[in-house]
Amino acid sequence: MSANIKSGKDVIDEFFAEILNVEGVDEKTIQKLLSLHNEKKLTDTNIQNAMEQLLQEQLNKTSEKDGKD
Amino acid sequence: MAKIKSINISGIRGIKDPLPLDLNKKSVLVFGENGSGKSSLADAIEWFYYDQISHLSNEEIGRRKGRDALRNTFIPDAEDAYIKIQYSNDKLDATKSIDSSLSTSISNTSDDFNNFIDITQSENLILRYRDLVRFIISSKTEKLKELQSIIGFAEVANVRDLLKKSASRIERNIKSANYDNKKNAQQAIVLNNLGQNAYTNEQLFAGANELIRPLQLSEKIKSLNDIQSVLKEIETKEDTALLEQISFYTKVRENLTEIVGNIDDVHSSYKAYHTTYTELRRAPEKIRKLQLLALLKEGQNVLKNDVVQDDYCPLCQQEKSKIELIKELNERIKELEELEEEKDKLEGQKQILEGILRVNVNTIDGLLKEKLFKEEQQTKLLEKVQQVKTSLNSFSDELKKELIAKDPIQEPSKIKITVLLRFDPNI
Repeated sequence: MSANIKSGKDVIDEFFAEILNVEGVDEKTIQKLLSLHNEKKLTDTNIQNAMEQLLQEQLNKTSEKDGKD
Repeated sequence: MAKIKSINISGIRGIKDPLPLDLNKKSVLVFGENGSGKSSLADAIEWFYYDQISHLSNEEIGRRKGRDALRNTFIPDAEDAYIKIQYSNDKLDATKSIDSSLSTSISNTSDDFNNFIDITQSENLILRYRDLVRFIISSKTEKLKELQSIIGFAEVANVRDLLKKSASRIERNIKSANYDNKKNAQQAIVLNNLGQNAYTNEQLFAGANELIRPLQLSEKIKSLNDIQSVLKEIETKEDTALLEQISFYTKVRENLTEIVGNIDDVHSSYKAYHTTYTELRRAPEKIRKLQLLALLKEGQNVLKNDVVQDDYCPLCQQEKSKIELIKELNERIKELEELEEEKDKLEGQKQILEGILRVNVNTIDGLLKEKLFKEEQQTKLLEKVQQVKTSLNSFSDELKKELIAKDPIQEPSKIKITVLLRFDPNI
């Protein structure tokens, strides 16, 4: 029975370990969240900055691609 | 499983002289009169495992996680205050001390001991009577929070709230940027120029090649870059001014199409904001009372933290059962919190609308930087575009009005975005 009882930390770790397997999730977004979680830096500001950075990277990539086409 | 063989405490809190307790790996019940040192025992154990004493970790009583109030004031400076715990597994035996300069040390630095402390810290070892009372009289939401904290689930709730907050912020940003409308505006321009829709680059290139076919140019369009070179090829010096003008009008048309597409969104968001705003204004006295929420919550903290020991109201000094007083405060706080929730909803609606307006005003500002607007023949067009900005700003002005202002915000039917420009897609 005790093997089935999970601490809050276990639940969170399990969630982050499984989250990539959820259908339809964006892999890059999840990787960002995962690395923040692993570095114990999962805060509102850090998530906001990481998402903004991801968006900019994607926008730059899109405009580069358009230029090459 | 490690069990405690003995505890020895000296110089901590109310325990001045060494206090040896032989538990012999058994559970014990400690009882005694008020002031006999039961809490000092719990404080010492809490400090040993968590390196803090939570109920002393506030600014009034003790800073630095309660360390300031840890040493018994009557022990000589040269003497260390300490707690020594011996376990069934003697590799874990440790003595934690604090000297007169309040620096602490621990005798056991082995990995075994550190792992043991890490594991122990994930458990809740201390549950105080006051925390129990706080739980019993707290509201439903607070009870849930307390329970989560007791069973170590507070972290799960925090992560969940954090992710939910981020998700709704992203949702809000997407809504304010109105990508669908931008896409539609671009599609409309493509349709207008090519006479057909283009959903992929290939379709766009095919349409463009069809368009330039009569010109019998040397090259065909196969990429976005080719469009630039084809434009250069067909452009002559005399055409430059004309092309500049065409590009200017295209930009005006593109930007205004985008804004026209956002009008419904602005109007419906304003309508929703107006409904919540009007609803909240119906109870002005309650809105004013919202300012009391912080005071009531502070009162609740004063009572819960035992700042007042006896049964009387600390504000009016009248005799009143403390539990009754807390219950009464909880009810008033609950009522105001519901109202605050409604106010937060209004704030959320305001932020959404502000976001949409900001995007549109930025579009207009970007457009107004076009150098052709400086030409005299564009004066009328400039005025019209500025009027669009003014009408957008009139929404922003309404949003700045306070909830308890004398005059309410304008009715949704009386405020509109005016695109006075006779909008001809073939401009």
